[in-house]
Amino acid sequence: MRRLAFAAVVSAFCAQVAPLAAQSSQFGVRGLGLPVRPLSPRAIATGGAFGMFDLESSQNPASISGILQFTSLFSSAQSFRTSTNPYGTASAKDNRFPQILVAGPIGGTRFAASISMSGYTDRNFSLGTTDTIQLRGAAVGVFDTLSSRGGLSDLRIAGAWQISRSVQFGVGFHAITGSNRIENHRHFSDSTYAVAVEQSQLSYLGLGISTGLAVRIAPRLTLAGTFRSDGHLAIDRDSTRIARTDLPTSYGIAVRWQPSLKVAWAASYQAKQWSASNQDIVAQGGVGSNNVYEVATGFEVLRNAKNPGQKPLRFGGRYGTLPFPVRAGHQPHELGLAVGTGFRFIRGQGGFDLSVERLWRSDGTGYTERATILSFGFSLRP
Amino acid sequence: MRLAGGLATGLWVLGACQENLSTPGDCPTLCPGEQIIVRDTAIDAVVGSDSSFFGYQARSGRTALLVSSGLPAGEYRAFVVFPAIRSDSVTVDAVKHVFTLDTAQIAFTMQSRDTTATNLRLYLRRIPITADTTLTYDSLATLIAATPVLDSILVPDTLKAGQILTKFTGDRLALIQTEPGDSGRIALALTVGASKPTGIRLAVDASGSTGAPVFQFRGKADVTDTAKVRQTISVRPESVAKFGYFGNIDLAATADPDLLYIGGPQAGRSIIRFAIPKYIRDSAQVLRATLELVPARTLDGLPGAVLRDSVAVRGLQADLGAKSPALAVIGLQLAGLLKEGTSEAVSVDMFRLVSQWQTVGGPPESIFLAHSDEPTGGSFMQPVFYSTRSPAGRPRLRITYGLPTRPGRP
Repeated sequence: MRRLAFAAVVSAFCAQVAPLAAQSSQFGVRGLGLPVRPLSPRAIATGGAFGMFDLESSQNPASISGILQFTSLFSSAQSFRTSTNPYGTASAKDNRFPQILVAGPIGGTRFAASISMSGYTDRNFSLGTTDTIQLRGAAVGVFDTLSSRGGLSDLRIAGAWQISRSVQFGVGFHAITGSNRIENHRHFSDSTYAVAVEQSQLSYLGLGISTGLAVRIAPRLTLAGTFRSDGHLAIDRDSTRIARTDLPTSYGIAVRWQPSLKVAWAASYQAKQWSASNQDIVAQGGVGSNNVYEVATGFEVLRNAKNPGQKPLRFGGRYGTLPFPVRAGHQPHELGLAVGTGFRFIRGQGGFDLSVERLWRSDGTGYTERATILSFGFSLRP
Repeated sequence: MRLAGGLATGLWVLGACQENLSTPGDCPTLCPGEQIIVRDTAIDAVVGSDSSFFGYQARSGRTALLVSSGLPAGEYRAFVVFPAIRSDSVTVDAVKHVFTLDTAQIAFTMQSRDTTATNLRLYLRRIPITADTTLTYDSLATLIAATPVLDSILVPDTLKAGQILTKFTGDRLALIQTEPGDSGRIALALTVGASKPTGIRLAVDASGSTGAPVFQFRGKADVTDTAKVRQTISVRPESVAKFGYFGNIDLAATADPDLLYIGGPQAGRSIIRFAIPKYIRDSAQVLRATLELVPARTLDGLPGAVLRDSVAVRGLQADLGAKSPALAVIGLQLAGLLKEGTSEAVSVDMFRLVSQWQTVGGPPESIFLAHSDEPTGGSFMQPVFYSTRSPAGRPRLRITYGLPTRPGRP
């Protein structure tokens, strides 16, 4: 119990020092940022393929219907990345908290409910540029830094109904909220000039709804599907409404096959109609947005079928496109390979899940990125 | 195993709370916003609103003696009257004892000199003890001309500041003996000479601080305790009327109302007013602000001085003209170097003060110029600057500022 308390304190501490979001990226500079997948470390380890079946993820509201006891999850992700673009290469690292979830059955019924906070988009970045300008008749070197902190978070309240042993249905209500603190700094090589600083804060609010279905069509074969509509996003700058951006609708399908008690395979396809935002983003001075898709596949291999959370081997891969191009007409894409495991303790009441994901991103015009993301999930089932 | 797990968790936590997000970029191509716009502008002072005022420091407040010879900045002569000093008895352990004088010493604290002048010598002349601040330059010069040199102090060429002194022993003691009618007091007039026209600044004050000139008798007391036989009797000037200096140039006496004066014997100050445009005051971030003053005549002072001249710029709490109270905030008293012997424009960094002008309810956009040595009265230089009424060289503020670009576009 003492260990649990310690872990909770550490979690709370870290939660205060960084916003709820996923890893940062130069591909999150434009548009609304880098999309974040609402997945637990367990699902991430399979490339995201198990996301629609994972009750600790927030992709499919139907996935919580099979929950037997109250469960909470807190996850953390540490990203190490190297970004390259025509202006140079830099290594960076950051820490985010992409998924927090509380779920449980509604006693005596076939219903379950959950509340989760996930990342929606991440807009944490810092861009550095150098230049020389003429001031008072002399050439003065300048170093500009544009930093952004924040992004969009997805607060979901979901309910699920186990219609039968084979069919599960869920509905989620989403509040998309967040803020974006942007700081512009200009340092001068001549120290007689003060550092120029500009700050701006954008805040966002939008609503969405999602539905999900999971159907076991054969003893070892399950299908899942989701549909989500996110309405529009109101954008305020320093408490003044400045814009409205339409948000995408999205859908996804997945299949899980369990050839044996110890082995499971899954694959998924998801699409998000980010082109709905394109007109608004361009009108606000952005580059634009494109529809995206993602395909993923992965395996989970158990060591002990009676204790599935004890040191399983999970691995998978995914490929997808990113919605917000850095340069018009060049849609970025990313490829990821992941592996992970986990273990349970205190008779299964607590658990750790770990995953390591290697990502390659590129837009084909010299903007590339390699990232390694370590995800860590701590779950409690008291 | 558990320990290893704990360590791993600890390292994870330590690493997890660190961030470094920097990525090379190119704006505006990659940036979701423009770079801060930086502009530079010169703002002339409000025409006709600048003027000079005099009399900000009483002569009695001076804590320096100026003595010069041949300086373009002017001729300066000084005098010191030491209070009575006993030469026949000394008090040891609250008991008076017979005192046998064997050495007398007169010492000064040199604060500044021309370090390029060699063979610098301070000449001492005995003048009547009636000398006081009612003298003038001419009357003191007449006294000096009529009086032989009592002694001189050769200042080592390597000494930039510190104590200089002369001693009297044996037959020379007679030179500093006082007449019975003088009640033991002695008055000295000070002049200087060197390999070239030069000047010197000495410390003095009425409180008798350790930096003030000192007149000392040293000798033996008639006591049995051998450790207390050697005794010293000292006096320092104690009346503000009994020390001072006079110069033969006072630019304020014939001040041109179209020029700006600071410092000098009459402790001049000048007020300058600006009107910062609204677009800078309300919307811009000031990155650098420089006050530019153009001297209307050569900045003559003490060349090669240890203590260099500078103009002090003070913001005002309220603009009440000549009696405007200065801002007392530390860091808002600015200074700009005055280059002796030149007519080079003077620049004063005004960043802190101009930033204050931008605050809501901030101080008025007016400044007082003064000589930095005004409180001590210790400068040979009497700077004069062009005003807003001058055809050229008007005082102005050069401001470099940044304009917001409201970053945050998608």
